[in-house]
Amino acid sequence: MTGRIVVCLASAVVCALIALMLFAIPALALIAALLGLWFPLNARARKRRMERQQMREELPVLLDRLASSIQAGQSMSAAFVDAAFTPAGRLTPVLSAAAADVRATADVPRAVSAAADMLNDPMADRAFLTVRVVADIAGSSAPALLHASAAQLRSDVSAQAEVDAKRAWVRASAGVAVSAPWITVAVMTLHASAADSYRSRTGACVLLAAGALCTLGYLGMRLIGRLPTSPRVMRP
Amino acid sequence: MTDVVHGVQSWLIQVPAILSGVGAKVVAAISPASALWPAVVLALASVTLAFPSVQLHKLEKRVLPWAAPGWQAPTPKRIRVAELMRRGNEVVAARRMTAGLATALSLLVLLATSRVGAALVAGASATAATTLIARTSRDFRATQQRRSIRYELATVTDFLALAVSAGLSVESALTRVPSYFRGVIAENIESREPSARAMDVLRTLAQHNSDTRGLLDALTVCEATGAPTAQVLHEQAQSAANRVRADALASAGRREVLMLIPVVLFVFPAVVLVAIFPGWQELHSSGW
Repeated sequence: MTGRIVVCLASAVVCALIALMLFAIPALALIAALLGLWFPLNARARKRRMERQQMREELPVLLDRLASSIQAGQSMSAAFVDAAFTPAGRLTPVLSAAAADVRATADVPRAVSAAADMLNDPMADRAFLTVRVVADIAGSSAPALLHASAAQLRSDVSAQAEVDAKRAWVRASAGVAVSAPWITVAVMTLHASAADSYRSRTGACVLLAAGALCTLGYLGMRLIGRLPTSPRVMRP
Repeated sequence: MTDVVHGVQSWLIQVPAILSGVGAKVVAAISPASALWPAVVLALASVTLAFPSVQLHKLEKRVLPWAAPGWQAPTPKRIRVAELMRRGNEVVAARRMTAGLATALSLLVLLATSRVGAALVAGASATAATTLIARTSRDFRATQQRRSIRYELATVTDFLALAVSAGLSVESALTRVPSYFRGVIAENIESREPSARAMDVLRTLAQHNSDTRGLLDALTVCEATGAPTAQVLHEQAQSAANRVRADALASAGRREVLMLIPVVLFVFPAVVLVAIFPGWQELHSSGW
C-alpha cells in the first residue's frame, strides 16, 4: 500500500518537473502533478484487465485437460487434482487451492464453487459451472460434453474480448478528446507573451478551470462509455 | 405519444379543481380581504389532494422504484413475475403523479397571474414534460431488465443444452436450474407451486419476454415433432449468446455517439477558454 503511494507521488513529481521544464508555468505543473498521481492507478487497472483476459483464455484449456484426463479413465476428482499441475498461469493459484480442497474432501462441486467465487468473473463462472454440472449429472458422456463446452467457451471468450476491445477504444477516445485543450495551451506558449499571460494569477485560474472542466468531461465520458458488465449468474 | 395523451387526459380530470380555484379567485376579487388568501390556498390544496386521482401517499411505493432505479421490492420471492407485470400499474402511478404535479403548477400559475388560459397551458405542458420524462425512465429500466434476462437466459440455455446432452429430460434439467443459477428465471422456478411444472414457469415468463418465448417455442416444437432436443438447445444457446454479443456491440456504438455530449459541454469550453485567454488579457492590459 505505502509502496503504491510512493510510486504515485514519484510519478506526480516527475510529471510536474517535466511540465515545469518545458513550459515554466506553475499552474500547468500543478495539473501535470495531478495527472501524474493518476497514471500509476490507470496502469494498474490496465494490468488487471490484461490479467483477467489471460485468465479467461486459460479456461477452455482447463476444460479440455479435464476432458482428456476423464477420457483416459480418471475420475472427476482425480482429473481435477491433476489439472492443478499446469504450467504457471493466471489460474494456477486458484486451481491449486481448489485441488487441495478436493484432496481433503473429494467434493468437486463445492471446491469448484469456491474457486469461481475467488475469481469473481462471469466467464470463469461459465467454465466452473460446466465442471460442476458434469461432476453432478454427466456419466460416460463427460469428455464429449467438456470438449463441447470448451469450444463454446472459447468462442464466447473471444467475443467478450471483442467487446472489451471496443470498450478500450471508447476509453482511448475520451483521453484524446480531453487532451485537446492542453495541446492548445502547448501551441499557445510558443508565443512568449501568451506564456506570460498564463503565468499571471488570472492565467493560473484559467488553466485550473480548464483542468476542472476536462476532469468533469472525462468523468462524464467514462460514465457514458461504461458498457454494462455481465453479472455473475452462478449460485454458490 | 399515447402516454402523453393519457397524461393530459388524467390531468383534465382535475380541471374541476382548477375551476373551483377560479371561483375562489372570483370571490377574492369581489371582496379583496387579503387575510383570506392563505385559507383559499389551503382549501384548494386540500381539494386537490383529496381528489381520487392524486392520493400521493398510496403512490409512494410505486413511485419509489421510479425515483430510485436501484430500488427492489422487499419480498424476495415471487415478486419477480409480479415485477414484470407491474408495468401496467406503474404507468397508472406515473400518470397520476404527473397529473398531481401539473395541477399544483397550474394552481400556482393561476394564483400568481390570475389568467385561466396561462394556468391551463402551464398545466398541459407540465403534464406532457413529466410524462415524457417518466416514460423515458421506464423504457430505460425495461431495457435494462430485458438485457439482464437475456444474459441470464443465454447461460441457462447453455446449461440446459449441457444437461440434456448428459441424458436428463428437459423438465428435470429445468428443475435443476435453481441449484446452479441465481436470477429471475432461477427464482421463479424455485418459488413455483409444488404441483406446478418448471415448464409452466417458463411459459409464464414467456408471456412477458420474447427471448424466453423463443426458447419455449423451440422446446414445444421438439416435444411435438420429436426433433433432437439437445441439438436444438445447442442452437438456441448459440443464438442467445449471439444476441447478447450484438446487444453489447450496439450499446457500445450508441455510447460512442452519446460521448459527444461531455465533449461539447466541457471540453470545447475548456479549449475556447485557454485559446482566447492570452488575447483577452493583452487587450485588457492595453487599456480596453
